[in-house]
Amino acid sequence: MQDELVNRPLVKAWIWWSLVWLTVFPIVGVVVSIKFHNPEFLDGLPWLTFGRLRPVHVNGVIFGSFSTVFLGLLYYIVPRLCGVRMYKEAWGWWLLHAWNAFLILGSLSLLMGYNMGLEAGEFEWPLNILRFAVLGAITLQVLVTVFRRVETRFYVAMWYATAALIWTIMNLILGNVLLPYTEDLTGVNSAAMHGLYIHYIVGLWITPAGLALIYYFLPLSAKNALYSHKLSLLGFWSLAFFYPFVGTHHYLYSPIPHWTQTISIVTSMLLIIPVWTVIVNFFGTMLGRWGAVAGGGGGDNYAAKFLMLGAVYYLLGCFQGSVEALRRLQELTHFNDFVIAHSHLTVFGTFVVWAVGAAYYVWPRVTGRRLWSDRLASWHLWLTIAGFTVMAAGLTAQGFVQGSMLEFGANFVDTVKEMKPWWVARTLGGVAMDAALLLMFINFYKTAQAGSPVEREIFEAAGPVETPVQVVAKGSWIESPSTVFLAAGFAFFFLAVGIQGITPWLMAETRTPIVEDVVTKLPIRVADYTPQELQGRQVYIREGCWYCHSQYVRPVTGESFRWGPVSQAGEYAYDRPHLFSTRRIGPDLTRVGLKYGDDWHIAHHWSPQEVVPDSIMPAFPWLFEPAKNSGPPRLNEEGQALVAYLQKLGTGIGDWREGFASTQKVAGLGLDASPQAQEDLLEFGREIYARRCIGCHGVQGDGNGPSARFMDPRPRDFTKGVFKFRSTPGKDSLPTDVDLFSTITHGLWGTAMPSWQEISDHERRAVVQYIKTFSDRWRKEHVERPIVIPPEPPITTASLDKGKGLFLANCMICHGSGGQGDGPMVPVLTDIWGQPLKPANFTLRAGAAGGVKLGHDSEHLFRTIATGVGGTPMPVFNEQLKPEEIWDIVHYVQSLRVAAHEAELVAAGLKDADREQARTRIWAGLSAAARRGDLAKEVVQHRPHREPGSLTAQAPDSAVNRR
Amino acid sequence: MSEHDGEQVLHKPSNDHETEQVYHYRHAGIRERDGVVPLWLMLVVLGLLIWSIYYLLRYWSPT
Repeated sequence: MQDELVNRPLVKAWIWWSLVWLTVFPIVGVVVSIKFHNPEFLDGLPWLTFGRLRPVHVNGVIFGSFSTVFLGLLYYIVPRLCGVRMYKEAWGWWLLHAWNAFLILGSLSLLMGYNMGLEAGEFEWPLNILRFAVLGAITLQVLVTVFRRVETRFYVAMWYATAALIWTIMNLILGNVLLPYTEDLTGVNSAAMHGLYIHYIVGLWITPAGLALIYYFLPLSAKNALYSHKLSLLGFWSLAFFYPFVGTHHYLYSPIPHWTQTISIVTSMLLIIPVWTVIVNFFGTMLGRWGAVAGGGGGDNYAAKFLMLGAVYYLLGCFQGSVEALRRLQELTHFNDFVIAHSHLTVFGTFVVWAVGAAYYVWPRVTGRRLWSDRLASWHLWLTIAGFTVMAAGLTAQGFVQGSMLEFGANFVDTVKEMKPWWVARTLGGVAMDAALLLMFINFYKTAQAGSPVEREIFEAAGPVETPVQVVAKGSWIESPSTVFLAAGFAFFFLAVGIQGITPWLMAETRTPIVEDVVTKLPIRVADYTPQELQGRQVYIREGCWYCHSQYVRPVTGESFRWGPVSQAGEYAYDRPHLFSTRRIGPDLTRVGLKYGDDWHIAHHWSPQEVVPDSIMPAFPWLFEPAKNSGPPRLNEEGQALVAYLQKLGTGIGDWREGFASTQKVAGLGLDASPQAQEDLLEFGREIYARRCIGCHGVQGDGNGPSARFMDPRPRDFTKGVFKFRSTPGKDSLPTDVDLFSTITHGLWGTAMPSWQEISDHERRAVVQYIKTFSDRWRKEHVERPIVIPPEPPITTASLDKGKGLFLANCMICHGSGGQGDGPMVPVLTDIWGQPLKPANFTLRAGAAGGVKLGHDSEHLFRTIATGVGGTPMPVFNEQLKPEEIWDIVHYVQSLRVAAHEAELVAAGLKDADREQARTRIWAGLSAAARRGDLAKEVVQHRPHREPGSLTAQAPDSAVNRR
Repeated sequence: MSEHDGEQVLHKPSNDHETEQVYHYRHAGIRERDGVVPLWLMLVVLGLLIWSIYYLLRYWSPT
């Protein structure tokens, strides 16, 4: 069949490959989806982890499933709308091969772990060059063809098609060159620019490309005139003006400048204008044709059905996207499946469905055969509707469910567990959608092979003609190719990039690594990454950790109580690329540094489910050395680097964990419950223990859980009924419920025992009761009343001097003269569990290995000195020392930490003039006496000879320096 | 149906009540009405623009 304008074999070849990619990449999505509810599926293979497959699916659907159809159909649309053959038409064959090579090699590279760390910009430079070359060549072909056209008027489909190509050529330079390779484009500026890039892929590539397809094929397939040229103008120009600004809405509540976020919200809402405009145009075009299309068969009618189905999804998805940008809604829905619902409604529901509709129209025309089976096409349509409704509605609802749970303070892992049944439904919906695409493939294959040949040329038909109408003149300047090219393509794009990307970049506060120290409220400098931490960051990027874990704490929905202080811009100054992320399948990791001991991370990466039974995180056995002996697996170099990187995260804003409100050792009302209440809580406690504690402490409570082999110190053996930290008098006395509650709430710093502040008071109370069932001591012995702690006296130099003397006399032998846990007795110290004992180093920051386990606050230190440390040689001092002497020791121990903390701040750039103020605030963070003003002036005055030991001169073995 | 230079005098579809301008892309076979922008949509546009100005002013800075 000859065609004077279109190279049909070429278009046919592009669509053949489109069918392949329409089948393959969505199937990858189903594999990914299964991993959500069955994380063991294809686990243990680096190439097939979620972090490697996810970008294959996303990039594959955007650039494979959708873009291959669009690019191929340009060879059909452009010649017909220009009235001349495509410029250098034969290039199309080479470009098809090159595009397929990009998709195949690109997917393989992602599976192999080559990842640039930028969502939608993951490919390495050779693949970016290949993609750029193909799109650049096609852009050239289209533009030359446009300027050679014989058609008087420039149709709306061509506005969108040419703008999409021009925008994307520029966007690829932005995202593949400027973003990854500009030295100074770091942190929040990297995020701001990336927000633009990622949304340009959606809004300035697949959106205009999809609109080009439906604007071209809907009037033809519905056999009716396009409803309104005026609507076309309004729709195109409002999209061209507003869309370039919206990208920052991906990172609302981040440290990106507030005003740019506001612009992105406003323009996101203004996108309702182009969306509703084009929808009115499409539905108007269908006026009078609904019955014929709905009841009709053949390629044309199924094309119209899919195009209008996509239009409905476009309306829903885009409205969802606009309102999702509103701050209050985003508080609830960002990072969760609501966003995934939106992305599927738009990318699949709209644009892939439009591409499918376009293919239904074109395929009979390029094969010369009628559609093989209307029944298969109908199955395709209805399976798509059924599957996609389940997916889109489910994901939207999930977003509200998970968002609400988190807003009301639920444990993060609990929200993940809650999602699992929904994710099963998502998988089933995805299977239906993929099966539908497979049916399309079969139908198209059979059409090409066995479809009935058309008796005559299938002409493009524009519907019935009846009554005479007026002649319309050629289009105005506003719709000329030059205007589209220069105003929409260039001017609006650069205006948006300038305002939303470059202006924030010029602001010094977004680029300098200066933050406010959380404890002293004074400016300090954030430390750069070490080479090992940088290596770990690369592993983090390679393994796609950032697809599941965000890295910024928002000042909303209680995030600062869940994870730690709100993010500051200066913290990210060394991050290139930024790793803010747009999704939280796992918890945010901004403040994960020093939350757990290294041993917890090792166990967690070896087998996440052994540590957290409800986790859906994959295992990473390739980050461990090959097994050589019977000991626990050991991290290899990459694994160690990854853990070093994780331990660095969130530590640049000072020693915030020491005073973190959520882990304060306060107990809820009614902890010392009646026997009946204790029994009522027991069964619940058993359930909580099985979900939270069993991985380390074991089924029998003997500290031999599956992860225990990684732990140092070993998890507590509850069967002995001996606990380190108690408020009750006497050596190894039983702790009160409040004591256990406090330890569970706070966690034990520097060990694998994390803070459990994220589970409810009720759960903590219940698990306390269950823990007590493991030892007979609770049945045989009476729990003493807690010791009485007298009011803390003022902190004076005399108190410190006395404390130093007492410390050297009573504590130095184990804790060392400088309180660094290096006394002469250390080599022979063991606890009753047979483990070597490491006395606390009082100078270390919160969470550092070897430091104090429960903090430096006054009452805790007093209580520990007074009652001793259970199961260890640490004696009970309340019988040897008077209360005021214990307070003196407490103050001296605190002074060690104050001095070390001050030295850390000085190393981080604290000004000399601010040292006294800093010291006062550090004291206030540790001591109730200091908080009420009983801190003698001379204690905080800068007098070097008064400093305890030599601690002010340097930060001795501080966590920062160690790491 | 007469034709010159890509512009055609066509017959208006049965779903319209007034004579209107239509352009015919002869190589593509697409017809495009000059059409209108419905009043309700213009009101939506106006409302959104007014809201945008309010929101920009109100939320330009965090306070």
